[in-house]
Amino acid sequence: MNALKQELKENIIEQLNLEEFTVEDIDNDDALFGDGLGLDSIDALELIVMLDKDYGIKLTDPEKSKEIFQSINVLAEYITEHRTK
Amino acid sequence: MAAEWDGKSRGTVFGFKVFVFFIKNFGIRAAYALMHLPIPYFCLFSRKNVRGLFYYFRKRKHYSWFQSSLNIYKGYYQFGQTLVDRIAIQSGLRDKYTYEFDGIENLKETLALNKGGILISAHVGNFEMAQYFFNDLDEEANISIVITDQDHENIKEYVSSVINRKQDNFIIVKDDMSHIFEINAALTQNKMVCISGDRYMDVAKTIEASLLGKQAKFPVGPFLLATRLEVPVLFVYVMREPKRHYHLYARKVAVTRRDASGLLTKYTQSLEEILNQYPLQWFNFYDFWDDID
Repeated sequence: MNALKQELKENIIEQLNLEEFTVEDIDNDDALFGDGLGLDSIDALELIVMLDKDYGIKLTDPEKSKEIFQSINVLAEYITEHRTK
Repeated sequence: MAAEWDGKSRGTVFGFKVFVFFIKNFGIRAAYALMHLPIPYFCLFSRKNVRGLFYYFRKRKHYSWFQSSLNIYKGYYQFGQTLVDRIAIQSGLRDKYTYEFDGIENLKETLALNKGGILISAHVGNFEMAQYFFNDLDEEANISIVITDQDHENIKEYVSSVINRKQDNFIIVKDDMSHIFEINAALTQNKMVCISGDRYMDVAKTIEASLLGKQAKFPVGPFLLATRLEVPVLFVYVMREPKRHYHLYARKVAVTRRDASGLLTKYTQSLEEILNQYPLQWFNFYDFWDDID
């Protein structure tokens, strides 16, 4: 699980080009959108594409996704339960 | 005066009903002729739009005062014609028009990649006609048009007032970000997602670039999407030509990842080329450059 969280942070930083952040800067409980990392809707789209590509998870429900993208902790838990690759 | 579009289209529903009646009973030419009736009304009472259009012709295209005034009328008339054409084609009169598929191979190549594609268009010509070109191209080819909620309310109103048409090809931009999922779903199904690159609502984040020699604001969303999703990007316009002829332009664009402003510059250059060829078909009837006192 910790390895997955680490991997997620690295991927998010790389994928979303968050140059000002390092893995250490992102707390497992930090909000990804809004006040936390301050990601926007296009970042969300990139994350959705990433989840599909890397873990075979297809997100289609906006409400559900809001919950999943709450924090690294929630996201990692969801991936562990639902990943197909 | 704010430069963003105020989201209102004057007299749309009533106008459409009249057009449909005329087209069906008296033909397309009669409907064109009918367009001369509301234009003086617009010229007199739609001051804001007239000023926006005059500014475009006089300051941006550098026509004389007289030519600019004349072009306001001509521009409105062409806009009216595009509305008539759209209704005529939607109500089954497709054969009354001729079509030119310029750059259609770019669309075919894009479809063959099976990654979907982002089409960036503008409020010039008659973009809504693009889907009829696409139907010819391939039965599978499908476009989804990304529009704002306000646009959608207007379209819903008039479309349902005149024709029974399925509206599942619209993706509506909403606060809950549901449009993000729809865009993603459309791309995975190899659909073309079409976004207008030139008009923004006051809520949208904007990015500046020069168009016709003067800085203007553009919505940042379409350019961010197109430079970050690693799907093919094309500029697409459907322009009206004399004798009921429509000319589709589909141009492939080389995109540098994350370079939204670079893509915007290419977009404004391509838009300028189109406006040089079709100066009357600029249909952003407002203070686009935010330069009118």
